[in-house]
Amino acid sequence: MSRHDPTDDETDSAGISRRDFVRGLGAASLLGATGLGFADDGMTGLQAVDDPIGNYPYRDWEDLYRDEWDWDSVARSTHSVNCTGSCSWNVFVKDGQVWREEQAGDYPTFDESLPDPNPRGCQKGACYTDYVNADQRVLHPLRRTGERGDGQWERISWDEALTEIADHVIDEVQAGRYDAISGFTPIPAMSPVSFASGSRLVNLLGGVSHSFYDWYSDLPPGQPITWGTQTDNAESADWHNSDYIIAWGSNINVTRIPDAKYFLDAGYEGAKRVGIFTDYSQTAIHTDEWLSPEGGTDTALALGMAQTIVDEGLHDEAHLKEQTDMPLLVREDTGKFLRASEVGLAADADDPEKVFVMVDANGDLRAAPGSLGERDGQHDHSMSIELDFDPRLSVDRSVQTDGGSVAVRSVWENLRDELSQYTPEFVHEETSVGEDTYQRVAREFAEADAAKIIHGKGVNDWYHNDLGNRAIQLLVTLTGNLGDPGTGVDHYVGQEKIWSFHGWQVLSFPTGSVRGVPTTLWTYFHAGILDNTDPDTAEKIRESIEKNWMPVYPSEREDGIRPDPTTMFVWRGNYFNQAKGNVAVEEQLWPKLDLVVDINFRMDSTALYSDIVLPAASHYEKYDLSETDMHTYVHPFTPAVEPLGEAKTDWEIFRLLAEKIQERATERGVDPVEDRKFDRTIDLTTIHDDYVRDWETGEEGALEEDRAAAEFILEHSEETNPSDTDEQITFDDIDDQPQRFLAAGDHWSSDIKDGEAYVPWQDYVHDKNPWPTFTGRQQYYIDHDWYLELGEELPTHKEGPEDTGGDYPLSYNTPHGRWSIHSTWRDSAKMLRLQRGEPVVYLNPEDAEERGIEDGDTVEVYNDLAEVEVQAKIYPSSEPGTVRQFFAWEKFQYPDRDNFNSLVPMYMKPTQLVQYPEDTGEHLHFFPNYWGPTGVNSDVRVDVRPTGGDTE
Amino acid sequence: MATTPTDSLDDVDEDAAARGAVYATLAKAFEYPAEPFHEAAANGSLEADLRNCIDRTGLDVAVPPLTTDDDYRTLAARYNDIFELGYSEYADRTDGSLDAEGPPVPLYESKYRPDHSWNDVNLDLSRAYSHYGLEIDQEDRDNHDALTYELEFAGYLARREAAVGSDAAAARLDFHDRHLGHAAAGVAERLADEPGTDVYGGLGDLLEAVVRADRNDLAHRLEGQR
Repeated sequence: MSRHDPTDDETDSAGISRRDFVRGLGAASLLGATGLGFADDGMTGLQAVDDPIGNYPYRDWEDLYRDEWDWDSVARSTHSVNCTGSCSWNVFVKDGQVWREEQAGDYPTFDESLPDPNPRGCQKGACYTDYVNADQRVLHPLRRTGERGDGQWERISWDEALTEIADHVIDEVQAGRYDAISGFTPIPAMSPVSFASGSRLVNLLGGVSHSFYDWYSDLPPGQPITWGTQTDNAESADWHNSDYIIAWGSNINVTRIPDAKYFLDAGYEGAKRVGIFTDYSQTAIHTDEWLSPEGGTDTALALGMAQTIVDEGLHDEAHLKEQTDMPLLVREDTGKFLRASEVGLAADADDPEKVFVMVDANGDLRAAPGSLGERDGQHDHSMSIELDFDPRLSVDRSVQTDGGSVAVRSVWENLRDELSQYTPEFVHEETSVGEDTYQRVAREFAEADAAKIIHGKGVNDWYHNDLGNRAIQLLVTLTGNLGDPGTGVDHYVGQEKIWSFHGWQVLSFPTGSVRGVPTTLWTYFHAGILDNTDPDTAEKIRESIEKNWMPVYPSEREDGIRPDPTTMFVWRGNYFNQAKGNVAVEEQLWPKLDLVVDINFRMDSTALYSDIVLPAASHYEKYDLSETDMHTYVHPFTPAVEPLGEAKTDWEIFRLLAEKIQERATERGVDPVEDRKFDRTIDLTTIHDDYVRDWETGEEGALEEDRAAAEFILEHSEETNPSDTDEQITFDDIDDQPQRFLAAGDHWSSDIKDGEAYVPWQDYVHDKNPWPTFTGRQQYYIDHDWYLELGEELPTHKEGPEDTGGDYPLSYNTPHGRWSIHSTWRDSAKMLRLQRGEPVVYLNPEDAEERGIEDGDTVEVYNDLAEVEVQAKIYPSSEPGTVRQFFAWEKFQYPDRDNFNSLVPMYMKPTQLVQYPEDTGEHLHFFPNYWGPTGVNSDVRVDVRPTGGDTE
Repeated sequence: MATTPTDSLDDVDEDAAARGAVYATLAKAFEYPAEPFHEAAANGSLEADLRNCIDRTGLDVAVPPLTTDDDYRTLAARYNDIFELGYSEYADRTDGSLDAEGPPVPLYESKYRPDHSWNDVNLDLSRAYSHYGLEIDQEDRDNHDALTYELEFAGYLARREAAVGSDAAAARLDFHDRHLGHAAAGVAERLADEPGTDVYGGLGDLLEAVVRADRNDLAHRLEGQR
């Protein structure tokens, strides 16, 4: 039934056509309601794509369901930023909206003997659509109108937002405070284009790029100390090649859901799986044997196991002689390595003072090949550590040096002395693990054909994490479990490493002059740690900065004054929420910042405490790449739909900001600024041109779009475009199906081989290239003055700092949870429904009963820094004396906004502030995410009481 | 009703047209405030002309105060605070329930449909918009269940009833029952519980009253015809 001919479009006396009227144009005016003119310009959200006065017969709602219905499109995408699973998903689209996702399940199989790599995914990825469509999406540029954190915002236009930011940035650069501009974004591998978007602009501005891996204590410092690099891991498929796997603090079933099948399936092939967890964790319950050391005693347990292996002669002597520093001689008087120059050896080496000494089977002194003194820098594969003599492991003698006779002993002898302290009685007393149990596990590990340790973050969060790492690494070194399938220490925490390294690096930092900063030091320095730590640590922090071992920005000026940081861009991360020492960060650091800009798809805690929030595209609304060292594939993000509201991709946002800076700088006639550190000029009048230029080819305007940036990475990386073949992986290829990398560049220590899971360290173990350490070998002895002073030249078990957070009876730690990836998904209704829906602390029943606390009670966790109100969950699987708060709830999910990190003070370990060798630093030098102080938190002491109660 | 190519627009059904104007106005009123909306709310023309429109509908709806003393920035911040920005907040700390989905008064129907999934609500709306040849502007898109879209759609159907064909009345009734009625009641109820809503409190009351009255009137008119 129709009132009018659909083709009738004549106008009435007021000039309004029927078609316009139905569209809503002038409808109120027609009624004389001129005061409603603001609503009289037609529909704006809904658009008539067909004739608005067309014939759309309607009898019943069922009519709407008669048309054939199908998805409009299916796009391939994945989830970022800090989810390291890198799982490929299909995203289903209808009417411009994402409705659901499902695992793509089309990773190609490269080894038929391994379990099918498909599918990959977890419950968080399966509900990401909720975020894409969520009403807490930030849809428009916002500027705060109240105090930071008040939640009072006004919507502003993109032009207004970009102009305000651009003018501020121009002012800072012109005032020479470009190094007061910080950019914080974590982990590139799972969306390198988004990582590069802001990093590229910050780099062009002369600003500061922040590390993240060390800051979040994901970096295992023991790896750069011992192996000269960090976290080169086997892909998870290699777990299946193991005969013996120890999950050491790695809660695989919770934090590695897409990979857990390899751990579980290995059991069907006969592998024994041992779990070492302080609690009876979700992974411990699936292992063949569970060891439960006291918290913070991993080092004692590992060294006890090492003692068993050595004492019973189960070590791999050939591996130790060739691949480690065990045969090297150490002076008894100074604790320093004996150098070839002292005994007249290696005269032809570039620097005989950096060549080390062994003793051969005849008792003659021999220069150790591959020492730094004969290498061309840290990495020199023209040299070899292969030995043409048989060195002695056990040496205890004197040698004649320029300065007379000197007593020396080999590292091996020193290590044996150290290990001898770890008697079964001591280990049991310290760790509470049974004497027979740990020794049996040590024996089984040493005797297995292929044994592996999956190393978790549980060890890294302790102050003495470096010692813990070194002790655990020692087990695979002693048994020669390195470089072959099913072996190694696999440490996936945080997964900083990106396969397509070169392409990502030159996209992110086009000038090549990078003002990187260790974020733990930067944060704590500006939050006042020098006045809030012990005198020795404060002195070592000062010394490290003065000697340029660790940088802090803004740099000290010629007049001796160091300005405060002024500006912070945060994207892809939640810096403010995740900051340890966050009471000091909020009170001391945050007020120093004149402008905080957060780029985000949701109003997380950092956004809430920012000045300007820019709406970012979600993972289903942009182009990017996804990689992880859990596997050897690359696959894409592609835009299933347009960004919601006024949101834009990260790449577009920073490109537009560059464009606005260039426009405003040109209008203001600003002059270029000479960088005070690097040989470059910061020219804001060309910064957009520089941003979109392909610096590798010189092509102007090549990088306008995010997809072009993704293709740039693929084009310029050895892993996707190998130099020795015509094969190349293109974006179209990965959109069609995930692709396995074609090669591994210099950033990796093994090749990628057809039909084999990736296993690291083969460059050194099989090809005999020098390890990138001072000695050219796996180095367990560090003769840096600070290490000698602190008695940490070898791995040793030490008690952590006392009374961290105050003198309280309970230990406090913050493991990764099942229902979120850090703070992302912490506010997802679906995930909250699968748990208790609010911040929870897990208490041992005895601890709870002692305090009159029952399951579900509201309690306060407190120490000298804060009182945090949460719900108590009675957790019988916990050891007594430990409070667990699975992180990373948002500040605003707590009544007083003190969160899980408010209980954690600023503290750091001086051994991680060094450069080594002290003069040149080839082995250990600050490099973002490779070497720098870690932000630790597990030594914290707390107590718990019912809300409103007291400690009695 | 016969179709005549020479129909004049002067013959529109004034009642339905007025309802269409009310829905269109409410749609704009629940968008992020633009300067002209603020001006209309500040100078009283919003309230006066909505009353004029409603008077021409025959619906028995009282128009509450719809004015504001806010300056524009304050009104905009108020809108953001009430409708836009979400943080997880406790709904009831005694049982641990948490409102994780954002702003105090979400402007999405699915938030008020606890027994229906987000997909069910939005897909149903997608089919409805699509049936009438409408789609969401992808340049600045929102979810199908955004209140402003539903109000635009309600206005569109009312204007179709006014100027194209009376069969739109049945669609309007079904749309109220299946969607807009739930959204309007939910938004109004949340607004009533929220302090400091200013002009938006009145708009919530009016929204609920108009939708309810329109729905009841349609049900009465169409009784026995379907």
